[in-house]
Amino acid sequence: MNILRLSWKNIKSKPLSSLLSMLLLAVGLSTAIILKLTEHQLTENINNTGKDVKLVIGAKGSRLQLVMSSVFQIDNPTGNINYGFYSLLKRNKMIKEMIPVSMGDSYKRKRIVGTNHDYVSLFAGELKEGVLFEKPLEATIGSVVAAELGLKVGDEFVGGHGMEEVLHSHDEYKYKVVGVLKRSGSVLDNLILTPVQTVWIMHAGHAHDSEYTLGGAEEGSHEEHAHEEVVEEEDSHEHHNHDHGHEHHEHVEVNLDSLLANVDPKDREITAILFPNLSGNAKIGVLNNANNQPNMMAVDPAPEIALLKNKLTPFVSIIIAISWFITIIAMFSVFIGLLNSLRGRKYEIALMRVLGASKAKVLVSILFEGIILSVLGYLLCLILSHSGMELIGNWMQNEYQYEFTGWIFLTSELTYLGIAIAIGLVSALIPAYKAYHTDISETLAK
Amino acid sequence: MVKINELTYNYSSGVQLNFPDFNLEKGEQALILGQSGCGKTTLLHLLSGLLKPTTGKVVVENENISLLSGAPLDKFRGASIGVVFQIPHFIEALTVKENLTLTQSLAGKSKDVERIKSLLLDLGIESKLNSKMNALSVGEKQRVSIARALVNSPALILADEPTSALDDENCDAVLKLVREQAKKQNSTLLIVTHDNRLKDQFDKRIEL
Repeated sequence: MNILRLSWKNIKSKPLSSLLSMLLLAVGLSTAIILKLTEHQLTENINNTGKDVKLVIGAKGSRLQLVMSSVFQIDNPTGNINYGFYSLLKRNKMIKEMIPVSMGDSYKRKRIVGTNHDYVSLFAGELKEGVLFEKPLEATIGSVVAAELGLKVGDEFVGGHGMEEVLHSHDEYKYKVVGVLKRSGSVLDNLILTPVQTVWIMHAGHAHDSEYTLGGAEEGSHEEHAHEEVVEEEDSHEHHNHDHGHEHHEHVEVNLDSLLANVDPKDREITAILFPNLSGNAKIGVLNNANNQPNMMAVDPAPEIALLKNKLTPFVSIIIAISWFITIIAMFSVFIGLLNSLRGRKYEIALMRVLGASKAKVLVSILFEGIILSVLGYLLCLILSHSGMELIGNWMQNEYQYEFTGWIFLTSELTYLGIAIAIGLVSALIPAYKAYHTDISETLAK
Repeated sequence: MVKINELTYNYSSGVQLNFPDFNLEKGEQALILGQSGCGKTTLLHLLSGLLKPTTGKVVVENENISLLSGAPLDKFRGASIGVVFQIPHFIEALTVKENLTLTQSLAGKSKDVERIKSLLLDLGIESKLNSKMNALSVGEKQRVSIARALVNSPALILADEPTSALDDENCDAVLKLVREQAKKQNSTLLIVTHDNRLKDQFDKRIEL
């Protein structure tokens, strides 16, 4: 029976008081750790997703909203822009890469994004099975989409208009899953990718009463060129189809192509254009060009993200303050718990001294009680914070299509073990000092 | 073996206690008698080094414990002196066995469960080895406290009114046990009491 075990037995003999102290400490530290986990994953997510997008062009509106919607796939789009502008920029030799994104439809709350293959490479996406989308109505889906909705290559589904709630479903056309992506930890995991043309087909006939026409059709001087470009692109697309199109679905494809050809250039819209690797004069050129368009704006995501982080700072500070407040209450709880338990054990302390325990040994035994309580509180906090994070993560994923997990561990969590032990020590200090100075003779004589 | 010489103790109130000199041989059993308030417990605390004498000296096993202090004194007390209190107190969070192994380890001795078992057997409470302290009767508790005083085979066993809280039957049994066990391991036994039931059973009596 060593001193450490004695301390442990003493804690165990007061289960309620010990549990309360541990729980308070655990809740206080958990709040701080959950905040850390969220911050870490958010930063990592933002960095993974945002770092390679140097410029976004979209419909005029909130700059932050444009970045959030088209880069992070969180917010609603600001509106649509005409595909003609994209085609026009394509002729600019200074722009090496540009990615169209077209949003507005979803399937079971998973966003359908019309885009090209560069979008997949932007987030370093890799195929797990199947192929990347080539033709309209073909879909390559993210790993989370596949897992949650149970979709696999060859499956078909009907998309709907609207992102949160489907306003009406496009049941005249079915998407076909042609590929599934590996988990990448980026937005890709939660998206259904398809060519931009799919969106035009889906919205053919609906386009004019869709909410996204508001920021839509361009009346600028570049219109004429833009239309030519679109037609050229369609031609190449058609050839492509002929090469592969004889095996199956021929009937549908012929229909799709004619349908596509009939989509008025004014209705060929996309939500935004993303520019990876754009810098220097090319960036300034594109920026000016877009900002001169009546219904368009170009936004550099980096300062917008920085601005968002600044906006979040006060909330983060409040949560930190709350976590400290709970932790300090926990410290008092450990302190009062130990003091109470010692009051009843004064005779036991004297007894230990009679049995040969030195003053120092008695002091250490009480300090151990504080430390054991705090280490247990810390372990409880690890369980609470990580399972809590997992719960919050699941909720956030449903709410924001953003993935957070409780099953990551940061080395900085170890510093909270240090904080916990310090709290245990500090709160045991006065009780231990009192025990150290117990007058044995007087106590025993009572 | 135990020797006190010109021992006095001054209370902070100014009252002075003077104790008669006495000398006990190894293995001797003696009674210290006196009415309440005459300083019986104070003498016991002086003998066990819990109090420092104002003048005079206390020698236990050739060690002048009046000169010891701090951890060495605590260590000496743990290893050489066993104390039986009037009201048996224990570490309530521990079982009988754990209280006794704690006593062994606090005295710097290694854990010896066989020794504990044989003691409990001698005291007739072997079935209580793993009992919680609060599950024991007063008589049983006093037996465990005797076991605790004996477990390290100390040279000196001090008993402070060990029988005053017990009925006649338990009084006789407890007294018999403590005397037998002290004799068995050749420990010097000194009982401080005002319990007249014990008076006639001891040859050596010291009146305060």
